[in-house]
Amino acid sequence: MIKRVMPSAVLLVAVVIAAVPWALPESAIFILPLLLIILVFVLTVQQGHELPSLSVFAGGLIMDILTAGPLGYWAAIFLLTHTLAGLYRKRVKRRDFGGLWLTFAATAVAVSASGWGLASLYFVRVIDWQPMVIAGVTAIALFPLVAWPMRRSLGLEPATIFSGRR
Amino acid sequence: MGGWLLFALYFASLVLLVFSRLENDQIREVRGIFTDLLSPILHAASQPAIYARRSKEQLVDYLDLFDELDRLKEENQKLKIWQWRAQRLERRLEHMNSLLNAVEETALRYASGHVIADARGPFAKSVLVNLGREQGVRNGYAVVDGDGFIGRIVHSGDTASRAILINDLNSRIPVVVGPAAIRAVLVGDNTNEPRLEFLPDSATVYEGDAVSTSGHGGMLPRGLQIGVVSRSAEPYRVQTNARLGELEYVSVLFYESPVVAAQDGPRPSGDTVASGERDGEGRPQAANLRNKHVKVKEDVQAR
Repeated sequence: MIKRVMPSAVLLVAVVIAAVPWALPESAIFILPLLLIILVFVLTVQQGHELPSLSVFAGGLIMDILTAGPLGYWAAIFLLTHTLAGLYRKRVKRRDFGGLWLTFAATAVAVSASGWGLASLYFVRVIDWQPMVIAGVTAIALFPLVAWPMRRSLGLEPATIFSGRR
Repeated sequence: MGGWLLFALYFASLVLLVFSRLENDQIREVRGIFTDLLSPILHAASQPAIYARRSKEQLVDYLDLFDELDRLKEENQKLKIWQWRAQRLERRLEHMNSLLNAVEETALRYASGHVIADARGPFAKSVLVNLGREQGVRNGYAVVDGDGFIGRIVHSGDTASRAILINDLNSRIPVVVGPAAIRAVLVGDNTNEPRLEFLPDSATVYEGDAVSTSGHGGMLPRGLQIGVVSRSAEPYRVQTNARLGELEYVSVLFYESPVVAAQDGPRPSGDTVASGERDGEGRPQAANLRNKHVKVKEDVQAR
């Protein structure tokens, strides 16, 4: 039961932490929310209990409420990450860390571009793309730092991540 | 089943986005309820962030201690001269007011709290403050920090309120610029430095000119400092005095304007600024205020 609830609980706690004022510079406003996509990705890809779609949606909605953005924005972004990570989970049988990182990089690019497109569509004008790019690149760079302890805490030995064995 | 659920959730997200775009009242109401529910959690979660920021600031201060001491000594000298000039001008103003029989401006009360969440993402430049209707906060009230005006309340919940910042895309503030008090509107565009618009054609604005609220429209008090003009060519931009990305403690000014009263309905009886017992003079007891992490000061002239 605890193992089943844990991914959702971790996501919800991370959402609250991401909304707290950390006094980040203006160019880094997207970094914390986009770091959450690492979490959504890893919790979806992980072996065992998958992060439920409903929790992903709820986490996104809470993010929307806390960040004062339109309801549904971060929910849609998180769901897109969840869908792409779900495809990897189902399709890829032999995993290695390089492949996982590459898949996450592709996901981060898709998610950043979609986030920028959705926001531009919402405002009916082209919004500044630079913060989104900075956040996307940061998320890709920080992926190993977040993914590694996450997987270990879920009962996997660190060696299995880097050895390419499942 | 999983595919259908995912499809339904995507659909729900898009529907919510559309309703948010249409500024649906129910969506706003539900958001307010959830913000109120989450505010105690955010309040608790923001403590480590505040501690971390303070530790960082203290470390930086410690490293710059001697330079800072020299700078402060120099500044103190300058301030002594300014103090003398201010006292002289104050006496002169008092004298002139008595000659003109001018009406005194009403004093403003304010409540101070701290930022428990700030907005991230492309949409809003706003902060969530741990002051709500229970402390007397209403929609439309001005919000300031130690450096000047930062925004106004757009949603007041029971225990927390959302304040839209002056650099938000939806922010429009009537201001006066420079010593000539040129009227303009400060328009937020989600960048660090909001723009000055609707300046008269003949107006000349210089870099470094001070920008403050004009009070036109009756929504905000007059004379709240905002910042200085940072560009001497169009589009004129304003560098805010307050560091909008690093707000910690803020104060909400209880400015009673006819516009706010019409929008928000009457204030609760007794002008309650914070729940809890009051002392013999009708002031809230300090212990109760400490428990709420809210400082309330009465009859203080707005900065």
